[in-house]
Amino acid sequence: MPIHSAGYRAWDGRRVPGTARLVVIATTGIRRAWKSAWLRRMIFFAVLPTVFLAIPLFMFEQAVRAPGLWHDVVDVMGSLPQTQAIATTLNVDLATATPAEIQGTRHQIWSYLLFVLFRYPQAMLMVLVIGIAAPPLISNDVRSRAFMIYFSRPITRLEYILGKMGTMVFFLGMITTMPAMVLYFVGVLVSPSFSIIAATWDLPLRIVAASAMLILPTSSVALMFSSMTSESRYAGFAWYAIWILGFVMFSVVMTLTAISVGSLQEPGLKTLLSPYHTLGIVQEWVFGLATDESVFVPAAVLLTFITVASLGILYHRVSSPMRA
Amino acid sequence: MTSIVELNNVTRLYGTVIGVNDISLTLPPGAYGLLGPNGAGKTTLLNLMTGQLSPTIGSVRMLGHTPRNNAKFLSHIGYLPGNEGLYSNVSAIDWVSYLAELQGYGRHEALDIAEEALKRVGMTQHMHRNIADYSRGMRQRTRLAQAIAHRPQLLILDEPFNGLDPIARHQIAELLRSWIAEGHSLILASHVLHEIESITRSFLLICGGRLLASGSTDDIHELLVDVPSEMRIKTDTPHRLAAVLLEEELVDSAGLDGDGIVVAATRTALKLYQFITDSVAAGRFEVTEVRSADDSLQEVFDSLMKIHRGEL
Repeated sequence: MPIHSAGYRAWDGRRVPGTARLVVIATTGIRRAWKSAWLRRMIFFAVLPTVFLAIPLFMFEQAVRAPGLWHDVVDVMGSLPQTQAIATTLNVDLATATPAEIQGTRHQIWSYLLFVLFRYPQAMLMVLVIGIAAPPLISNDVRSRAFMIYFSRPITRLEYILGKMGTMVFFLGMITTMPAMVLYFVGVLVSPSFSIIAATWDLPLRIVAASAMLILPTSSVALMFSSMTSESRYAGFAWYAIWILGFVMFSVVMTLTAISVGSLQEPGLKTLLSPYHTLGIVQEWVFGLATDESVFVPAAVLLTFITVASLGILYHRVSSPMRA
Repeated sequence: MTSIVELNNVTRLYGTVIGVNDISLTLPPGAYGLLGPNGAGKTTLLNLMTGQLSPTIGSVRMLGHTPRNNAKFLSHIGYLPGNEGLYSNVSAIDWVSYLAELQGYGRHEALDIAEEALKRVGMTQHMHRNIADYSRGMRQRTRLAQAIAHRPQLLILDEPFNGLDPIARHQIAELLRSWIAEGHSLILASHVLHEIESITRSFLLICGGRLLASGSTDDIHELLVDVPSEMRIKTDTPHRLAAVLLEEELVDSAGLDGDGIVVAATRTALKLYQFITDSVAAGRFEVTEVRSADDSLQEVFDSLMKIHRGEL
């Protein structure tokens, strides 16, 4: 009678490739963060601005067929912020416009609405969502010293960071890229024909670029804070502090300048004091609404520097579990 | 056969503090206990072995690989670090299966092997509860489960018995013995000597970052043949016994420690035992107690520490 070993046997099945393991880290981070009721509520509310901005989009497409509605569109657009960026476009008379001019106007209007979506409601939500989701992502590992267990697995420090970053990309994508894409496709659906896609093909790419501009620096900074403490609340405080302090500093400097000069001035490089306004400059440029590179270039350089520096510190923290 | 551990003049510095000091070592597959007092460098050595740290000087090869950031090597080891490393707001099954997924198992396989490992450490009943609700012993079992779940070739455990009650210690010791019997390799760091002795006879003794000795307990006993060992003999005639031992040149020194105890240092312990036995049988002395820890690994450890400190 043969004797069979009932003990442990080595796994001889297939193992997934190493790169898939960062997906495991990301999905686990998503599952854990998703337990937060506040986060779920925010993701839900992230859809609402899309519904709101779909209204002027729909009205514009109706005005293309019935130019008499154009004045209503201009009135509605006038209630939105930063319309000076499309002031020329709003002066177009759709009734006499050539098809090429209508296409140009459509592109500008759609770009502007997407920009407004990114710049205002989603940027605010982004601050809140990251403030909830990011702080515990690494600080929990610092507190529980889970690094030792993580890095006794076949994953690299970079894969670990990318996995954590993946969690943030998912949530930020849910509140920025996804609503923007939905808004774009709503525009396509309410437009006269699908040939509109050919005229607006660049907008999905601009959405992806704007999302990346938003997600990369913010996630890097938030994860860096998370890696620097074992208490996630401190990381959360630090995160909110940079936004609030930046905003307040920018407002104070602008107010003082206006008082001293006697009128409101263009912020110029003062924008760089506030992360919120710095991101706004870059997004405005990405959607083709600003062409002045004198502010965009320093803003882009600053965001790149912040991203690289944050990732460097993050990598250093994660690579040094004995010091964590 | 490939060595499981190959250290060549490995030194690890933390600034000006030496964690591990010039250790060279080659270990064939098997089970080894890593012994040393707190701060001896055990954890540093294990961190070097698992690639968590790079050596400042020297080279480390594990299972034929350099361990640092080496996915191929890391898929062959299971590691239980000395510190916590657990998330509190997840269940044991979620935690262990997550770590198995990081080893490359698909979701379903990971759940299967996590369940099997948790069963093996006696956590089946509690594996769906949050880790925050676990006792220290249950946490330790969970941590052990994550180390064995993916059936590693080499298991590296840092103080695995911490926080375990006697029954759990026995169960885990049984598990480790069966692990070794299945042909797996094990490196076990601890200062609980009798528990290591119950699992393996091969050990490495480390202190002050230096490897003091390696081999089996028998090897160490051989090493200690000429090393004076201290014995405490209780008798009703301590002065006379001390004088006779010195006269017979059976001891290097003899002293009295009250309550009729003779404290003697000898290099010829066997001769001394024989003399006492013969004397008692002949009725020369009334000896009620002879104490020496020569049969315990603790004695070996203490003696080597004394050699290291230059006390012997």
